[in-house]
Amino acid sequence: MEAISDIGGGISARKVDDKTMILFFGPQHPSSGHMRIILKLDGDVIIESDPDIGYVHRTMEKLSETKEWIKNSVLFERLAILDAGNVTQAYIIALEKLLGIEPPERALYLRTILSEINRISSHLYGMGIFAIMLGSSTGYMWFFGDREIMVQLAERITGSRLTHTYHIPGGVRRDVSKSFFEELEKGLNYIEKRLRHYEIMFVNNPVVRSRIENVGILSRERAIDLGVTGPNARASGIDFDVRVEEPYGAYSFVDFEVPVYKEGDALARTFQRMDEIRQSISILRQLSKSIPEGPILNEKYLKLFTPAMKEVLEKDKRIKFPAIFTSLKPPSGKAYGRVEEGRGEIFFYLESNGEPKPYRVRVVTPSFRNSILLKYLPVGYRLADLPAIYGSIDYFPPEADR
Amino acid sequence: MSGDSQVKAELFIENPAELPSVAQTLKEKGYDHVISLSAVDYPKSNEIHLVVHVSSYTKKDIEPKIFEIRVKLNRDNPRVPSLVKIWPSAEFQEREAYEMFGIVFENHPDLRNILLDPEEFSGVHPLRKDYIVQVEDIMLKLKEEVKSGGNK
Repeated sequence: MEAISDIGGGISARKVDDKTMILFFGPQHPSSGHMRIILKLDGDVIIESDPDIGYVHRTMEKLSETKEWIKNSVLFERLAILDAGNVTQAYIIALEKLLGIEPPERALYLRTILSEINRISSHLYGMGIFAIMLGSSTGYMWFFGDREIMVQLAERITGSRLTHTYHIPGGVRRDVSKSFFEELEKGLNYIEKRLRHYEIMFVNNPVVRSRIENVGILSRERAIDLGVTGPNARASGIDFDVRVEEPYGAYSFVDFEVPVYKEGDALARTFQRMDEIRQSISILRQLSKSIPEGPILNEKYLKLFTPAMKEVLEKDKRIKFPAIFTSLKPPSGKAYGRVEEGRGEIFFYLESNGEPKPYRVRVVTPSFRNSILLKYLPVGYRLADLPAIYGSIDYFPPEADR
Repeated sequence: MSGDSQVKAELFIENPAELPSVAQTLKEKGYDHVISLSAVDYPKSNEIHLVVHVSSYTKKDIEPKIFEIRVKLNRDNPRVPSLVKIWPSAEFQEREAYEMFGIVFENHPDLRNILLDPEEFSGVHPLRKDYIVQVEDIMLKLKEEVKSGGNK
């Protein structure tokens, strides 16, 4: 094979024969994080695509074996900091199964409120990245600017913008004040109004639309075979959502639809995310109307509180950790936790041998499951379609590499 | 909400050669995709267990929702037939189990590292229990350098 030659713009290519060329797309990717795709091109048609991932692999599964159970929730939320609430929730659900403890109802509501706020902000982030990949800087600015509202609402609940560390076994770390729900409603009204603007300015913009319609078509059968998850699967006609199939949090107390599209192209995936934001808005409104009063941590743990801790909880509505949390020893066994994250299903499998540290933690993220699309979906399309395909599947390298 | 404290279904396979036929039966039952394929290392009994979690998109009423298969492998030479032909969704995860545990998946179409650098991690399998992570203690090194008269 000939030496790699620089063809400008930091892109290198090598010639295979007179017709075929190998192109290295990445790993210095301008928008989404480090990963590269090694493409075999015939002219500008992609005939082979080999995603080379792992540039942001952080050895999370190995690292988790060296940390106490509770400390791992801080580790794992770094999988996808813009969707941290959902990630931690899956881990904590699995851990709660091992410990045999359940959160009280108000905590379930608060968890679900954070989940849906995270979902909206994750979708806005994904669409912002998608927009900049298509060269629509206005879209990028709008989605990222509006996402800030959701980030700030999450901050109001948890005290931190991105890495919330909100979920603890048996409950949540902080309660919210009544005024939070007024702010939430304001934010939701704004996003609802903006969804119409996005449609006019971004999705139905003739330049954007011509680049994403009928591009990167994923059939239902193929999506099932490849085990694609989340909005990408639903945009290909798979009616599957963990929130419905195995309800957790407060999802069994609310009414919502799971939007599904048949087309399976980049356009359908975009509409899919916008429809899901609409559903999240509706879920959040229902939750803020019906949230019950009550404790935010399981009684069993509340009993362990010292008078000083009780005072903090009473005054500041936040939990000071009982000392037992640092040396949790779940009984030997195994458990799984699954949650519908913004990008799809996140799955944790925990194995405990009764020690203060896990014996094994397996985590499969939606981006890792969807990364297989980068191998099969671009084949047959033109090189210029690749950003549209890549952007539309909302692939997030740090989450995929773990 | 109130989940079972344990994963309900578990199928334990002692002979790895039986895995494809078991997988085929499960696929015909409706388990159409792999959620997770990985392994757990048990150095004391010299075993590695391949752990596969499969689920269904097409059959809503399937029970259990997630089916777990465990396959006992010999730790010295873990080999198992690939599941890619039955469940194409296993392709990347088998590559991961290959690099992390050194499990060889027979007849895998493209068995090579996926996350780790193939040169640095050739023959080394980080998720095995005997792999010790090298700790680079920068602060400690600096102290020693100061003691020995600083950096050259």
